[in-house]
Amino acid sequence: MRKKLLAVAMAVICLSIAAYGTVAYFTANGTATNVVTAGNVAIEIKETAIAEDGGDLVTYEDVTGIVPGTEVSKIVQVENTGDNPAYVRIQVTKDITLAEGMSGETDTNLIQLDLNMDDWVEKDGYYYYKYPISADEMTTPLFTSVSFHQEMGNLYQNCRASVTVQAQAVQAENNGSDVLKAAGWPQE
Amino acid sequence: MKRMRKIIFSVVLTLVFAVSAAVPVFAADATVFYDGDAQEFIFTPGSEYSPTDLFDNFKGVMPGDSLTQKITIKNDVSKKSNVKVYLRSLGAKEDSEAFLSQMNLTVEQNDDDILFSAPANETADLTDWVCLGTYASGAEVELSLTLDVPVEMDNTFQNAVGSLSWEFKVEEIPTEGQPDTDDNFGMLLYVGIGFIVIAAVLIVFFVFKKKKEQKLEK
Repeated sequence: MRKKLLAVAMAVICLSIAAYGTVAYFTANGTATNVVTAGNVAIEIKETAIAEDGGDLVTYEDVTGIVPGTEVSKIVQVENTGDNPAYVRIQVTKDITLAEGMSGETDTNLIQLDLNMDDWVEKDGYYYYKYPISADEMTTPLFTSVSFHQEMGNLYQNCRASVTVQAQAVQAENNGSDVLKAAGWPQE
Repeated sequence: MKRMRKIIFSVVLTLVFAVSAAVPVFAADATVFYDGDAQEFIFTPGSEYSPTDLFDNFKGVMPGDSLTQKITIKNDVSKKSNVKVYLRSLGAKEDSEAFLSQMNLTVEQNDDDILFSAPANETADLTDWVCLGTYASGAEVELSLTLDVPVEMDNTFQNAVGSLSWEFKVEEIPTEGQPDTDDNFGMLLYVGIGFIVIAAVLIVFFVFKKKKEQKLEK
């Protein structure tokens, strides 16, 4: 009998303690959805020309009927259309296709560009803009006109001359102390 | 002349204040606020991607970046309570895994205790609840995050967006009197009941024992 009573007493004590242990504190949870986004590098070549009346700049369009000694307005710049600062370089390719029936060796040096070597620097066939350009900013022009030399003889009659520009960009942040030290250019 | 000088000075001062007020504020710290009355969390600043976004400084990341973000955890629970604060990571969204795995995230508490250091898509040491400590009403906990983006991260991740979720939990602990819960029975009450029951049982036992002895004597 005594043992039974002791067991009952112990059970009561245990239940009391267990009951205390199940008392819950207030808790609350909340979830934060955090987002990491990547930046970008994007550029656009802007080719403009001074309007014939000498007024505002207009979009550059091909010109026909050029004769030796002519200077054509063609302003080449690059705009940073991305969200991050970028270094820019441009490759310029000059080409002359003679008219049908004409043959001979062409000289692309007869097509001259008034290159802006104050803000651009030439290296390995590319013209590098010396400064990083921020988002929505534009470089100064690499050149503003294309001149056809006086010495272009009859060989060049009805020829087609082209000046093609290709621009590339690479991020400026965490990428060297200047444009010539930057790495990661396309095609490298 | 003296009056003129005063006018010029005040105009210059006004301009200085106007210009300084116009300077935008960058690199905002994030806050996790536990509203004790509403018993809910408020996350700021949020972003266009998520209203509970705490990674304000991790936008537009570029290869080679090493960015930091401070997160302050605050509470305004009753002064009669302390709060235990817990954190765990629920991991990255499935379509964010490739992007977030490129970079390493480090989370430090109070600039010395590293809670997490692993690729950002992983849950690592925050897979299970980690207690950030027990804090009094109004106390603040500070987390310092560093996101390291390798310079090798390639063009395929331009404009990528990655999401990862963190869950916070608080446990309110009353500092005086009985636990402030729906259940009004406190420990003393339970122990008291226990002793009363034991006393009653013992009294019954002794009464029975005495009666038994009296019977035997007769």
